[in-house]
Amino acid sequence: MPRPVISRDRSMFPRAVRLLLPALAVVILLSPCDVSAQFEGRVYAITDARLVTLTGQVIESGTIVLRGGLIEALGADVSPPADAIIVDGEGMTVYPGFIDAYSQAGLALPDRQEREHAGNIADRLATEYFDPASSDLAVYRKQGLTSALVARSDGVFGGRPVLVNLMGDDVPSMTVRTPVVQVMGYQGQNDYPGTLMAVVAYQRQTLIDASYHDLLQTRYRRDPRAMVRPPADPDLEALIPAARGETPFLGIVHLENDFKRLRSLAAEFNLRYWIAGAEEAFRVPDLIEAAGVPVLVSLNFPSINQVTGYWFDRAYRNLSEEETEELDTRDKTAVHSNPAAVFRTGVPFALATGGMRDPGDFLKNLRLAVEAGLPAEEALKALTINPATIFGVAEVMGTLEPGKIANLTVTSGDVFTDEDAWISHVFVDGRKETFEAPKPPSPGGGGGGEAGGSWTVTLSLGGESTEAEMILTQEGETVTGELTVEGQTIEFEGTFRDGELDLKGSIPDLGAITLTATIEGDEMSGSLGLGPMGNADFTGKRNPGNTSGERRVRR
Amino acid sequence: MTAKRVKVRSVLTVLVLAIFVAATWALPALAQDLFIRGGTVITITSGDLSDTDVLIRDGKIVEIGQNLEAPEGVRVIDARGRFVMPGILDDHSHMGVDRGINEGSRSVVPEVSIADVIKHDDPAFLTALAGGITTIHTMHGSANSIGGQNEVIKLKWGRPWEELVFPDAPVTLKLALGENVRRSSSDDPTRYPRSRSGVAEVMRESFQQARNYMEAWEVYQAEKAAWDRANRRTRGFAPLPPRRDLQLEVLAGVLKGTTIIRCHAYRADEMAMIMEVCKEFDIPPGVFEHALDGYKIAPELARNGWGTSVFADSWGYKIEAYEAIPYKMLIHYEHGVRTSINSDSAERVRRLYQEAARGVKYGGIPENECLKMITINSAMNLGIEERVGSIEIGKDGDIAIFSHYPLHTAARCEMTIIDGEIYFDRSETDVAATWVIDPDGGQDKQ
Repeated sequence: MPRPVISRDRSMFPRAVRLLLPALAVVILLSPCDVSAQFEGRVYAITDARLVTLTGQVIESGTIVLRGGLIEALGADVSPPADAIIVDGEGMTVYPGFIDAYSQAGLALPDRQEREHAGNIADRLATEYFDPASSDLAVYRKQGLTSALVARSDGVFGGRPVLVNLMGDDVPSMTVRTPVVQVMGYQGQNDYPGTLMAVVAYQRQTLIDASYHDLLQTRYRRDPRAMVRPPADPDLEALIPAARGETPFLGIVHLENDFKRLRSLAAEFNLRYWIAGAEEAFRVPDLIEAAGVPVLVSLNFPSINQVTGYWFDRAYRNLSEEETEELDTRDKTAVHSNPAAVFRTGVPFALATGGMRDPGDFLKNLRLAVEAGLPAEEALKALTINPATIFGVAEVMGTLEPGKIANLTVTSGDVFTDEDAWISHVFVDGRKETFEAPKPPSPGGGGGGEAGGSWTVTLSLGGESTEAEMILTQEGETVTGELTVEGQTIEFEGTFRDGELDLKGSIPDLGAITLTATIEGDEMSGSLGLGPMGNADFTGKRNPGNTSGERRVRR
Repeated sequence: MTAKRVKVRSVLTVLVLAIFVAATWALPALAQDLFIRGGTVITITSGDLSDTDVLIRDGKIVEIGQNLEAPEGVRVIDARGRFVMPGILDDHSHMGVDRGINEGSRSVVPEVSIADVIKHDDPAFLTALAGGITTIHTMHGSANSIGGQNEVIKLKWGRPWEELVFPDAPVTLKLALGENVRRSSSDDPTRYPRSRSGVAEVMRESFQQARNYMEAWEVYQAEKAAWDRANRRTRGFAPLPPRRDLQLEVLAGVLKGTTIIRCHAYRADEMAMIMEVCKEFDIPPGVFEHALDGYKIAPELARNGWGTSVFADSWGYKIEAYEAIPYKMLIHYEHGVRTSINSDSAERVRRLYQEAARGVKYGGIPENECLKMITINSAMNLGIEERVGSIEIGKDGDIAIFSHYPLHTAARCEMTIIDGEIYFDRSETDVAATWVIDPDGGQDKQ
């Protein structure tokens, strides 16, 4: 019977490098001289700042000293050492560096069609696909995130996540820890398992195979002359501790039913697990509480028509426009309250970007989550000490204490509640990055450019794509538009705010449709919501020299 | 457990049951209680009863008769002038399946199961409810010689998926023959098998593997038993069990006769082939899906005990569908082939009762026999006829109330009840809602 084709095409060289790198890292770390070489010259003192240490009282005005990649000292009475570069922290708040508890930051994977089969790649570290030079990482840092648990999300047994610091020269020096978890997801592959049902069957069979591999190997070790040696299989072997229930799986679940699938599989095979993503945790808080497992909850807020149960309250009901709006508002709030719902279950939880289309929305969504009921101090914990504790690195991360890794997030204003607040600096392993204050939004228009004008958009639906023309007319934040697809024109109206286009229209026989998009300069990307038919994603380019709006884009 | 304890326990069970039964009569009304007054009750299995009441308590039909008294607190549905029939079954559907119904990557995938991927908020359920459907058999597609396991669910709209699952329904396994399996319309037609004879070979090879697998386990169990009995000092290592193989475990269920085969089939020669293969492996007869050319071998189908689940009158939509005729239901009926009518579609499912009416049009099958094809026959095809498919005391309180006799042109479903709870009520529903549902949701047909 054919087995899944799992690429084992690893040439000797990368394999050797893979094995040697940790050893090299140990050598480097054990040599104090090399450490100073690696983090040389970085002595900083942030003075007169508000220090949120997470170990007790907030220090309303104090100094924190960073040296050689570690926190050297902090306190109200600490004086900056003579060799320190002074950062004036007046009006700033210093937090322990924010940790993105489940992330695809910096992962550089080939396109889906060319990608290796990721059915079982349990032996792989996520950092094998991590690009330390990725410009991506700056986007995360700008959101105050200094570390991330990076994990491939496109596999079934998708390998081992790694906790990395988000600024550095290479993977070995950026690696903080490889938590002892194994990713388990629900993503279909190009060949078997392609569908969700096959993914579940594949999970079962692979767990059985890992246990069987365990049995054969144990037997072989006890009496190697009694049997033919079992075939080597590094990926099955890597799954054994988790299959035995000794170490947890990291289940990537998005829908309510994904979580239930994971839960019943865990019961069937006696597995331990954490969950990541968990966008619909608010629908099943009792089950989450009963499971009592750590939840790495994503600040990805799915559009409400993607959330399980959307039609329960709408299908076949003669709803007025107001009633529909009321329901939509209720559901949107429910989506935003998901992190709060996880907090209320009392399970260990942390916040994450995993699954977000634009990680640059992290702080915005964080504020929405706080607004929807997540206490700000709990949000802070969920970005610092909680993930550090879940990942077993609380000794070196998660609070401001001397000797801990010099990861700091420095803000101007309260990023948990104030939309004008911003990240002024991050320190990662004692390295500083400074960010400009965001420009105030242009009067009357959006913060991210202009929507008005003529656009060529490429729509994709069900694997096919088609070009369409979109004309948008903008007045202040109000936008009206026409989308012409294959000769048919749909009219829209709505708003453009902070670079986000949010329009509504209707098609005869299909009813209300939505058009949401993000505009950056002359590019837009977004999605048409076609009600029960699902969504059609699109990208658009502004047609040159043809703006119907009054203002040209300032860049 | 000792014999004595078993006896004590069974006595206790009876006692508890007796108290429970008595209590249900005295207890206040539950959500799953309903009294349906004065309709023409189409029992399916024992004729039509005019001006008859049906009482459902705790989700089960407990009383059928004239001038019954509604127990206190139980909601009364006035069905006078209406037709009360058992909830309709659609025994070939693909609704409510999350992220793909065809695991097309391989030709043999019995290990996959629809039970793992039920999408309980599929709005198509509501359209089905509006057509009086209460139970569907939602199936793996027909891209594979041996497809996945299917699932029987009740359309309990608004409930978590676990509550939809039909408890203890026998496992059914999708098999398929003909053009779909050979991937004749596939963009990348490289998958084995590419011919009808190849399909037969795949079936035989798979069942032979399953037989070998069962034997390997029997051998192991014998060795293990011997090892368990052996002297602790002399016995050495325990024998190694064979590797558990989920594919072969499911196929072993077919060989043991506990899993029902549901075989997508168009051509008579292929159906004959599968009946032969099943005889070779002592596999009990199953059900042919669609069975377009089944009328040509109706006597053989009847003799071998195979059922069918058909379209009322679709034909000519692909080469192997050219010789289908709408009189097939009549021919099956006359030869005693158990036949149900299915929708295979989130659109046609709305009007399965009209599909059944075609049996009257094409050759004049008796009306009640037509209704059997969307109720008790479907239930028998699924092995759940003890629970659903007719209005009888003890059966599930699954009811569809129609404005006219269900085969009448003007008939429409007014109310759909599952386990004594109302899941569709036309008077409270906006059936002309401003949105419509994509009829097939991009899913495979046939």
